[in-house]
Amino acid sequence: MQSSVLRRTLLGILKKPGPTLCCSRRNNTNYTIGGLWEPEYLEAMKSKVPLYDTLNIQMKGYDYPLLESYQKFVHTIASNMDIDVEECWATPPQNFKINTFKPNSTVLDKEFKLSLYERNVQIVDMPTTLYPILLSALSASVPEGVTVTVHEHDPEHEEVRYIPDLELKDLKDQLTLMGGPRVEKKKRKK
Amino acid sequence: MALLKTSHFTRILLSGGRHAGFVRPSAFNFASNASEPHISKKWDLVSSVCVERNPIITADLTDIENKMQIFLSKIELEQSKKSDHELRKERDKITVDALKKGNASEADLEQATKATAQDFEDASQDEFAKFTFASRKNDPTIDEDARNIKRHLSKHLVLLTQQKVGSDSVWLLPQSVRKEGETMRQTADRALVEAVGENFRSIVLGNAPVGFYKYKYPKDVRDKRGVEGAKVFFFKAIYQEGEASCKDFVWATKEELGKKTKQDYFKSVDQFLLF
Repeated sequence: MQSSVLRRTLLGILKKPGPTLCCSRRNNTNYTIGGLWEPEYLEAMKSKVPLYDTLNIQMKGYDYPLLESYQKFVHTIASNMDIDVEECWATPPQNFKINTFKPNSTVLDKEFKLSLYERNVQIVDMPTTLYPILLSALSASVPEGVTVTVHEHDPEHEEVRYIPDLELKDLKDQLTLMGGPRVEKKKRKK
Repeated sequence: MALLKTSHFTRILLSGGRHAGFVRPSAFNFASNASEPHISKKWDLVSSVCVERNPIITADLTDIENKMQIFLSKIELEQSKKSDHELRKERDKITVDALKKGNASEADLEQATKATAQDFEDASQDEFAKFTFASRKNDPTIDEDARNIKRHLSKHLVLLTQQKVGSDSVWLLPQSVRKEGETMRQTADRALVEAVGENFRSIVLGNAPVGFYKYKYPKDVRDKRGVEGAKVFFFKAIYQEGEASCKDFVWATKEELGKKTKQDYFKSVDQFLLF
């Protein structure tokens, strides 16, 4: 019986390249996951539930201390639910200037200056079964004047955080106007 | 019927995993007083949706919370630094005093003719006085009208419908029995549409249910249909907008939910409610 199993195993390895499914009497399983030579705990460590890769919880509001305390609250909820909070960041506010005019004229009546502040909380590897619970907790606890959106992370969200180097951009524009960078010949190594 | 031969039985079981699949049915002859073979009972699968309307305004502060808030704001004011507006006000006051005494320079005179900080503040106060805030307190008739979505602005509300279960009509969360080939989530969506119509918009959170309730049918129904009872799986939804086009529905607070529904049903629902 044992020699027939061994023969089948060898045939199996020879026929298919890469990790093979083969008979094994280990743990009464019919096949070994990942191949004969990979340890089983690698598969066991993976999550049994599908995961969301990276999600950003974006909070926007006009009232700055309220927004900050809500961000802290969201962070607390997420960490209490054993969700990996990767990063929290703030982006510069959007400043609005609102002018009201006197009726039937262009005379300025009032001028308001408002700033829309933003805070973000980034979550990594969240189980899809836990996501609805987090959403219901967030929607139940949103304070007045704060809007919350949850979206997947894009490279653009990362780009927005950096302050553009205007001097460098100017120099680059000048270079393109002058005809592009100088192409150097590659020197051969002797 | 021959009785079980125990020696034969144990020999087959002890021979190991290899032979476990090869049990010959003729080897067993069950005696009438031995344990009955397991018959799986049939249950109806039901999907139920708990539509929640989140609070529109914050809850009122209690007495002690109010006092604490006033106290903390006083401390904050004492410890804070002066704002631009306050500094400007002080500077204006100095120039005005200097003008009165006659020590003013030309620059000060120019500044004095412009709108002072005090004028700005007065104008702002007038503006504020003219503005009317929306009222935090509802008309008592709105709070009492159970079908109004705007009742109890600071509380969580749950949609309850009156459905016919068997012979009597019961107040419960909108539900329907699963048809062949449907997932539980599809059943939940259908249950909502059947209960409240197309105009009602809500977001059902997730494909997995959040709660469970089991009940048995009365004996005559059990014998007639051959079904033991129903297993109810609850799904959570958040109300977005729209009107519920249903004859008997209610937006219930938690206390009302406890009163209108059966006690063990409420116990299962209470498990997943966040308020």
